[in-house]
Amino acid sequence: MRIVVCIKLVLDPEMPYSAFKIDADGKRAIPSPGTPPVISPYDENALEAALRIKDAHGATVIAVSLGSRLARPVLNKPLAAGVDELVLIEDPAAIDLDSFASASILAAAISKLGGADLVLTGRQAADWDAGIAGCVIAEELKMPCITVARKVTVRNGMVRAERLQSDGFEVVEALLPCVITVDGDLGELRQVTMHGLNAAKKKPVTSWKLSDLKLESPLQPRCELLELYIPERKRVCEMITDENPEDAAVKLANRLFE
Amino acid sequence: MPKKTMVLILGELVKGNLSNITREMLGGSRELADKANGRLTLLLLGDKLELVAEEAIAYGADDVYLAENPQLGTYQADTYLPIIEKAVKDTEPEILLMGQTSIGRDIAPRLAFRLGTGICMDCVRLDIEPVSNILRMTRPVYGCKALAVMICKMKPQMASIRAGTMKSREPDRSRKGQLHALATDIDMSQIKVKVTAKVEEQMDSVSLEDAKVIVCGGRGMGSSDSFSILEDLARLLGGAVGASRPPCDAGWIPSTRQIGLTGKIVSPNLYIAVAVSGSSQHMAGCAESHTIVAINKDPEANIFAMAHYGVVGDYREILPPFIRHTREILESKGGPRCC
Amino acid sequence: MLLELMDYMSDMKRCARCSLCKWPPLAQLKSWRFSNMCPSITRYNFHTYSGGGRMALGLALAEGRLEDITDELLNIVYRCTACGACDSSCKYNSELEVLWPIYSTRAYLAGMGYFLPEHSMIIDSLRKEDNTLMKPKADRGKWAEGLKVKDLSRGEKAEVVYHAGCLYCYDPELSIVARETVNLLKKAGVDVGIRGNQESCCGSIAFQLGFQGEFIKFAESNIDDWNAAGVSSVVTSCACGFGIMKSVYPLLGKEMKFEVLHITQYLDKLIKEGKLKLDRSIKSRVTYHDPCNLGRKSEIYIPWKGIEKKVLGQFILREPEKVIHRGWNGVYEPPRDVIKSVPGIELVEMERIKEYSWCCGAGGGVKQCLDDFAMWTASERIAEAKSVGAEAIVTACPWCERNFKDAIAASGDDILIYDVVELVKQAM
Repeated sequence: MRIVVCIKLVLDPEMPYSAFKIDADGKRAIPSPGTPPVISPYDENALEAALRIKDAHGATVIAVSLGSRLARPVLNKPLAAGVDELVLIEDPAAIDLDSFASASILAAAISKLGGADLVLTGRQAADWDAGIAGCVIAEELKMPCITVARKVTVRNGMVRAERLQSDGFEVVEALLPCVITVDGDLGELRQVTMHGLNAAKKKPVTSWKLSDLKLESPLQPRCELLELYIPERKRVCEMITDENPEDAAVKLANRLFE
Repeated sequence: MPKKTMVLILGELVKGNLSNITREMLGGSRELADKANGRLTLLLLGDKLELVAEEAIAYGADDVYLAENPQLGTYQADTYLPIIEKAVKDTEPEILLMGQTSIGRDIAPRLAFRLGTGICMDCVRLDIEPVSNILRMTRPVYGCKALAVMICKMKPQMASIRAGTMKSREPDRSRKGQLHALATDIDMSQIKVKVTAKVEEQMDSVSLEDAKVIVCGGRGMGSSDSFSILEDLARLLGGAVGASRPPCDAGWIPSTRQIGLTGKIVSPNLYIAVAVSGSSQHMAGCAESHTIVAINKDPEANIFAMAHYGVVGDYREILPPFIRHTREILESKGGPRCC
Repeated sequence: MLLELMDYMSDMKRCARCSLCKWPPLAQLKSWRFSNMCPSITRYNFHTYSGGGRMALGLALAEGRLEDITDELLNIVYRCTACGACDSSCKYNSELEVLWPIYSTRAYLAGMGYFLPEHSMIIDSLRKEDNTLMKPKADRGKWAEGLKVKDLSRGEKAEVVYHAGCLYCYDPELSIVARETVNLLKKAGVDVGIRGNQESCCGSIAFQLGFQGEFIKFAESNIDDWNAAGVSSVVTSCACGFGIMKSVYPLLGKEMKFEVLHITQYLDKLIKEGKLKLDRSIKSRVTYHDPCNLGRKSEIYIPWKGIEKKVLGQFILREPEKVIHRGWNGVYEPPRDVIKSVPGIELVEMERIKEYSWCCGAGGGVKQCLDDFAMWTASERIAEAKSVGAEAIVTACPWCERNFKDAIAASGDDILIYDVVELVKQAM
């Protein structure tokens, strides 16, 4: 069984507030020294979903990442966690791609790899939060798509997933091959160990440029970005202060309910 | 001369009625349609939709397209997509809107792909430019730390709308509109993803969306046991307990209680955030609350920039006296009640 | 952010390769054998490994001359304990900042996503379990089991909070020292408390490895916790933590309503005030190893920003005047005074001491990622201790202690290692 996991490198969503800055003219966020880019958190959940299937049934898990500059030490993590192969589509032209273009490139890469039985990715990327790419990869590859899965199991050529709902979850089934976008409720990516890091050094890494892929759709963004800005926060908070926390609590209660 | 369809809305039903977000979109789009002198059309898929269609007209629709079939009662992307595509072909709308809901998130990207157009997901603001009818769509990015303003020059211009972004109008039952029936020959073999079961979480308290008071715990709570004090407070105020993302990820509380960008968007009267740092991803879920109270040990926590009242300190020292004193005040006023 | 590589451009450009960074101040050289100061270049031999070489490397990165970040480059950058010896020595001639460009280079590379594979494990452990040792957070308070001491995490209040540090909490061999420390403080009548499971890493290793973002979160969280607990002093045994708390925490701009003290400073005060009486005699010839982070790196750092004017084409005048951090204001006398107050002890000094002390080899992430380098550096120091006839090395940092112990175990040496606290305990 072959599982492809599409992962994206993003600016760390957990960076301290003071570190997040926008270049208004360039309309992009500025990387900050001291805070490395990370694999988008929901994509890490997707890696975990793939590795659990590999543990249960055996599978070849291939991680694919697309970007203009892909820092190898960061992308070492999937290999160290248990992924078998890494495919990097690193090209300076792959900058400012929208979800549709990225999905089309990733789909072309998956085809070049000979297809996949299961394609997993996060439900949305932690930078643009659009939640589009996963579904469009399914459309490009003409596969069914299951979104916001919190559990993924495979049996007899079928995949069974639990989809998050606002009041619980629903259970769905589909025939493989299938695309699934994964939610954080599935569970965190397993801890990386020294053993894993050593094993990672021997695993194959393939590097492609956009010119290596058969791309049929145009790469122009479908929507145009006019402005990117950090909104000004105007609320003024009334701070209830007191030397003694107990007195502060009483003051707060009075202020709210009296 | 019949006016052109300006806006087509994909409506959703909750327990047989128009969902809140559908009514909001009708209200907001009524303005857009009027500004552009176009028609507002609602598309509904489901079963036995006549009464709901009349409601939709009262809420602002000029046309309602109905795709009625018992098979459409439950959402399935494979049955919905061809019908929506047909409706778009028939009405040729300038703008196509749907809610940023479980259905919207699932269907919107695929619909955009099939229609060969772009889409902005989770929009918090829409502005229309006169004459050109270009829609300026504002959506939060980077975990809601920043806002992006986008336009799409392809047609139809598609957007999914966050709950609470638009305002529903008062229903005007004198309004007139047209109903159109859509053919719904459903090819069951087209269904690639089958729903085999639905599991609902046991809720013994008010749901987060309906609660007038929400007490929310964050990473600083430290453990699942510590949530019991939040439950005490919520019970006292007749509210519900929610959490930001870290407690859910850590397994201290079920994910269905998560408030934030990928959780629930709520707007209670009173929102008490305990040991919540106030990351923008979380604030996206609660910023519309009427009164936000924050308790956090960090005086520079982001939550204080968004809250109305704040106390700096350890919640373990502040909550017990707060609960005691609040109970005294409410009892003296004749029993606990919602604020 | 705290560090921008660009801020140090003028210093990096001005390095004239005088190479003082490789040796102690020339007037302090006592022998050929122990005439090196920089463990990195002494072991790896190329100029790039020295302070000046790292300045050249930082400059190349800042000027965009290094496009390809290879594994070899990362090895060079991280084969350095960030001990600050180069920084201190440079001040005898050029007064350039050397240590901070080293930190900035690491932060710059980390920001681009380049670091050693082991670092991702350390940082993940920090994020998930609040410590750098890949141990569970729930076990952090285990070292204090049975100790009757106030637990601030349970709402008790104390004047002084004792911050044990990751290594003391999780290393069973070293935890004994932490327990002894608490007992000593209690015996002296100090109103001390600990934070048990709620204690989290000081962020020192994250900072030294270049992960500023992580560091800022931990530092701010600690400052908030200590402010909220209302303590007047924070006493720590971990010199690594102490150094960062004194020199870097103030740069965050957060109000610190408490004083940060190292245990040796505190013990020195208690002994001088007569609250601790050392009456048992210990007849031993010991030497004291100055931990880098307690000594030269604990000096308060004031980043300079202003205008530089060149006078007579040669001399740089700065407006406002720059505070030069020579490392002289570190904590050197208190630990020595404590040792000297042990009756019967004979304290001999090694050749490289105080602000020109030789690093133990554990800092800057080297112990975790490049253990062979750490062990070699320690063995050099052990040889130095033996050369002055010491029977034991006394130190004041758990990382130094851990590294020396490992090196002794590997070489089968018979020299002993004590923490200052252990010595005091034995003398009571």
